[in-house]
Amino acid sequence: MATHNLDYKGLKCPEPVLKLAVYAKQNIQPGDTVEVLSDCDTFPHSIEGWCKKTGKTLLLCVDEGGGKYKAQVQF
Amino acid sequence: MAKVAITVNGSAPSNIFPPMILGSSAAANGDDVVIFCCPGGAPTMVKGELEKISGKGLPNIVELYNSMRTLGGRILVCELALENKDLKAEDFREGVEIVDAPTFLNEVGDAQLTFSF
Repeated sequence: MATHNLDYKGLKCPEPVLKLAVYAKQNIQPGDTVEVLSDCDTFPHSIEGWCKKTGKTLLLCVDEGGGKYKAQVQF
Repeated sequence: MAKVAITVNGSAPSNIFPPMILGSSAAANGDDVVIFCCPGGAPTMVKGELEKISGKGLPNIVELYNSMRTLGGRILVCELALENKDLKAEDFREGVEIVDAPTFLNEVGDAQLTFSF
């Protein structure tokens, strides 16, 4: 099981989740964990919805201040 | 998983950005996405045309297109566009399928979400 770190700061909806989906398809194995950084205002909502829709586990999504968010997703 | 059908009948940014944003988002969510370009929207799928389209504060539309395709989204162009817009099949971007309207309708008859732009 690997941990992947993805920095999607500077990208707006829907790109953070879209890029995560593409990355996941090409690089992630079941059991892997992904940490995603984003400064998109809607990221907390979109990552929560994406995890529910795709059956992934959202381990955490925290506001790190300064408009930045960090999410951890278990695949 | 839902099936999402989107029709495009214009070549302005306001016609093509929403299908690419919604279509790529749906594909990211694991939905089946089928975009059907009527003759009015077909020119946007000609090689090099998406690269000319941008919008203030909007994502890169070529990246949306490529990501959607990577995630299984399909882009169909109405065959009537060929004669109507003086285009050939080889003029279109990689991955674009030329089909007739009945084929599109047969493929999306079970769609749960439909949009038209």
